[in-house]
Amino acid sequence: MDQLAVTKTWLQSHCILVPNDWLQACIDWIHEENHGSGLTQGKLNDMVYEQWLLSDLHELGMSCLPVNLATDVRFNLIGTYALQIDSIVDVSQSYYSQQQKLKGTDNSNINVTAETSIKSWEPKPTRMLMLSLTDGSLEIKGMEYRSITQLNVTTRPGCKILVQGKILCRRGILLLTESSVKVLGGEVDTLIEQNTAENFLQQAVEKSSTNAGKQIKSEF
Amino acid sequence: MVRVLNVAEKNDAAKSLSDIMSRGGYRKREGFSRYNKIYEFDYNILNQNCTMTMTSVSGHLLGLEFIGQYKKWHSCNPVSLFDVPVEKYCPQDFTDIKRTLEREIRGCQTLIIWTDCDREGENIGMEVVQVCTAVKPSVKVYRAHFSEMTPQAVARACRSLTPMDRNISDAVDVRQELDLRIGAAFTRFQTLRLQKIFPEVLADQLISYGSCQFPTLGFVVERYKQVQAFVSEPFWKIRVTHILDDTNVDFSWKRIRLFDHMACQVLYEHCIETPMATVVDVKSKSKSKWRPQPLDTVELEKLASRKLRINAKETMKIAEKLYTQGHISYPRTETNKFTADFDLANLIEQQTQDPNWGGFARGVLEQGPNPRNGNKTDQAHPPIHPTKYSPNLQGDERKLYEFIVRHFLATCSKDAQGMETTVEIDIAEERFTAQGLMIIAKNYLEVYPYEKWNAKVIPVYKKDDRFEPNSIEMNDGETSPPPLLTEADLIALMDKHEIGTDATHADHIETIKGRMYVGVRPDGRFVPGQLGMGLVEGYDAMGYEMSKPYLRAELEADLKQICEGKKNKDVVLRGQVQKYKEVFIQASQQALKIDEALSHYLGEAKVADTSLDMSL
Ligand SMILES: [Mg+2]
Repeated sequence: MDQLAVTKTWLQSHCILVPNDWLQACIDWIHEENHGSGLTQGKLNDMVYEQWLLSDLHELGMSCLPVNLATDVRFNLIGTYALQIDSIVDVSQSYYSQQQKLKGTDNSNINVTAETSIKSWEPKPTRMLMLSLTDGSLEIKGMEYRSITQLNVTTRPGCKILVQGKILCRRGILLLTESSVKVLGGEVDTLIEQNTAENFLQQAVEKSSTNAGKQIKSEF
Repeated sequence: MVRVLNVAEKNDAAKSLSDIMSRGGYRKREGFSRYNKIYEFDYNILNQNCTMTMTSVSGHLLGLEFIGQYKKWHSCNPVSLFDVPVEKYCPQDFTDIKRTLEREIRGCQTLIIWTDCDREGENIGMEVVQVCTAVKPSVKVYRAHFSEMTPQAVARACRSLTPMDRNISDAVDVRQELDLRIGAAFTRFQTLRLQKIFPEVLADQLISYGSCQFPTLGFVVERYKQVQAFVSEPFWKIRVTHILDDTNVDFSWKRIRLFDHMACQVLYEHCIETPMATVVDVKSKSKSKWRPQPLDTVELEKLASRKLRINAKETMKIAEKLYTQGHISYPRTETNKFTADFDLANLIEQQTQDPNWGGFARGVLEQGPNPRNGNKTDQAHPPIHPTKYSPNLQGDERKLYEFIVRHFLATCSKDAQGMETTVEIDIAEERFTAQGLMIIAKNYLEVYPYEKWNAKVIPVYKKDDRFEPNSIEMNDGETSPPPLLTEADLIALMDKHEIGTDATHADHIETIKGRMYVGVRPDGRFVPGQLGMGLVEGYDAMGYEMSKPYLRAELEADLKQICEGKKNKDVVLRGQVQKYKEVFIQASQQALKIDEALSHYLGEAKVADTSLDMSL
């Protein structure tokens, strides 16, 4: 078997799909960097994997997720999938208060009041991250349904993760827990530039306002 | 017989003290000042029978001013006001009082100072000493220490006379001199400049500056801007209702709320797919609502402002009067704990006659008074408390006295006791809780109508109960900005940042209102005026945090150290003068920034007349 096929199989065993032309270019580049000195297959695999962590899955354009995942009201996802985090935002706190903290314009005087029974004028919720995820073609969301300690708002855009096991997905949102996520690492330069925390928050504020007023009630 | 001159801070106090020491048997005569009478009686003090002459001043006897020509506004470049000499002088209105002291001291061998036992009082006492020793250098000087006008307190004061405390008085001298120099330099500078630049709006306006009033104004502007800048956002939450035993129970979501609509909707759909609730936890725990701590000045001001709607300035005026007439203890105190040997029972006993709270007071006596002490003490005064039963007060005096009595009885009684029940349910792995409260004993709340504790009924749920809720809803809401400051909030901020002292908070607030830097809305909340906004923005644009509390808070800390004898008066004065002088020089060089900031509010700025920018 040629090197490309061996590497590709190795990647697939780690649930990572890449296009042939990208993989070939990657292998060629690695050889060039190493001036043709002999690389073991293991070493080559590692170096390709490193490149994959830093690549933008949108550009690789592969797809591994079932296509109806994003549209079905309810879907049970089973298996292991390598995905990229495009952006992360905490939806448990107001975006405005998070913007204030980022800019350093938050001010503890806001919590000073003569009413000693009031500790803070805003409630203290538990965090819930929402992740924008992609397999390279499909865009879905991941909800921090139960606390996931490996992730936080400063996780770099472009970071790769594996989602694994049996995961409930509703309306294109994966309900993630600590055990269903494995952080692989990596980042994407272009995403880091575009998707700064300031930008996410601003987008989140704008988008959120379009849903204002929506309510539902079910009686039993 | 030895003759002793006694000087109190106000005529009321001189009268109350004389009344107590002579058991009502004093002789009264006139002094040079109509308002400051002279009371005479015999009294055994300093181990001998003495003829006591008791009179008073009316607060500070001397003022501080620049010497001669520098008093005039156009006499000099304002920057030199940081260096030109200052002197203490007796203002016209007080020369009569001074003459009385000078005449009376001649026949006396001893002088006892009975001014209020606080920083200002010590300084006022020192002014009296200065005037008296100028006439009679040989006079022996003593200081009486007391916190209330009661026979016991006065007798104790007479047994424990001390020398004057020079350190405390020095701290006041430093503060006065800095306030004069800083206030005059900035006030003259900005008034002269801005009157010319905005002649239509400000021609006749004094635009004062003070190193306390400015940070006070700064807090109002800061909050106002936080409210203005606030961006309201929608949020969503899930609520579960259940009707059990005819009671409507609301369960609220443990996630509180989410700011992403789809995230909330997904969880909502998850819940309604299998809308079966399981009770996972029922916790009952006893819960106390704490009785208040003994009253210090800041708490009195805040509570009177919030609960009685009497502003801080007015509160202190009334409290001062109640004190000098012997109804309450000294109202300027930082102490919020009673010492173990304090005779609470006797004070409570006196309140048992009252038709409204007498019964409660008897109850407290039976259980034994047990104040919920705080941990602050100024080592000089006890917490504010009633010193006698006074049923005949009227109006706001009555209101404030009643509040002080009720607060005192409340702090000496017991916490309110209740039982709080929390029921936690699980629906499709989302958690919701509902709470109920049963009040078991109201205790202090019986006597303290200024606080409420609302009982809430919750039916009995048992762990592992399963039920179908009556409804599950996804509701939307909207974040709202923080509230504008109330006077009580403003005092809390000043206290936190050590702007002024508990004795001066109310005055600084009055000043910024009087200058129209801030206004008070009908709901009691503070908004900055155009001038106030412009000034703060202008100075902030220079990059000095003059509207921020840091500069002034450093001075207050230095003053404390002078009082404790840890820092030297002259060193502090030199250092602070230099610091403010530098700020002043920088500020006047960047004065255009003030013009610019103000022009957003007051209309176009006239080009500055350069003759005003006296070269520095
Ligand atoms: Mg006083």
